[in-house]
Amino acid sequence: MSDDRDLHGFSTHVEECGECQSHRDTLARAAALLASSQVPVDAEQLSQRAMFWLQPALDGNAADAMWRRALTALTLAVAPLPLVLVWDSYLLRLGYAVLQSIMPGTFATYVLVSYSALLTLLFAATYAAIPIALGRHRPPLMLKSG
Amino acid sequence: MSDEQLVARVASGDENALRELLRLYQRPLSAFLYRHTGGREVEDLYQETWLRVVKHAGKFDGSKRFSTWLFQIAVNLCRDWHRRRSLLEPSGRPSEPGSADVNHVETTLDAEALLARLPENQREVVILRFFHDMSEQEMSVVLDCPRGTVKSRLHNALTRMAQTGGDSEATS
Repeated sequence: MSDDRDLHGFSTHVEECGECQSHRDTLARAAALLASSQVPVDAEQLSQRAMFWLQPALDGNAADAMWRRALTALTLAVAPLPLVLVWDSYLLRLGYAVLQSIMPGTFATYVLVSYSALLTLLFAATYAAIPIALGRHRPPLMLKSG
Repeated sequence: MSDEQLVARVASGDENALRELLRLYQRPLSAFLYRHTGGREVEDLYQETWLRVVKHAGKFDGSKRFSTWLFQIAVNLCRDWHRRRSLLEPSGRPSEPGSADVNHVETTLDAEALLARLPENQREVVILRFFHDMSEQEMSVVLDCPRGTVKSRLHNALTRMAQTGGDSEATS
């Protein structure tokens, strides 16, 4: 019975330890007993049931990841905004000067303000669309049977 | 794909990655829980272990082994379970050798009874070493104790098992 295979897992310790070596045969029997033990658990079924209970937590992870991505995208989109605004204001000033030379000042101001308002609206809509678009990409909740 | 990459995907809500991890670890984990608790409340502990994995997947350190982390969670849950159980049933201490646990008093010694006769901390070491082939270093991480402690627990467990084996031989 003192087969080394039966001591698999304990062998290193048994070889190093004099006290345990003196019980080698008994330990080999104990190891053989452990090796022969069965676990009467249907692991696959456990996993299937666990998957059902884990779905809300998994959906939570997906939502968190989506918002993290949205925040990153928004940050990247907002980063060059000051530069874009400076460039736009330069173009508007240039445009205003051209308009003033071809039409009355009040009308030129009206055209410029309307155009600026439209630009602001387009900017706001573009940035607002980022999280909304990402939100719509969220994976649907999948229902699993028991 | 490595286990660690799968955990990263679980952190972003990937269902297939979780299914793959479950498939890979369902047998070792359920067997560990079964042996640690003597087959009681395995399903609850199994679900709770995976729930913690899913909830904390984002905090998992990818440079470490997933299996070590998984068993760390399982060991902690089992310890809590034994603590709760000993509070509810102060007299029922299956880990004490020779205790009168009705489930484990048998004339023929079986593996379950052999493990049940070991104190909880020694049983953990035997299960991880023998059934999960973990090194002393890995066990020290899972059990959150120094390597020397793991060594001495293993030694004490083997001594106790040898005594138990000797006793059963003497009585048979």
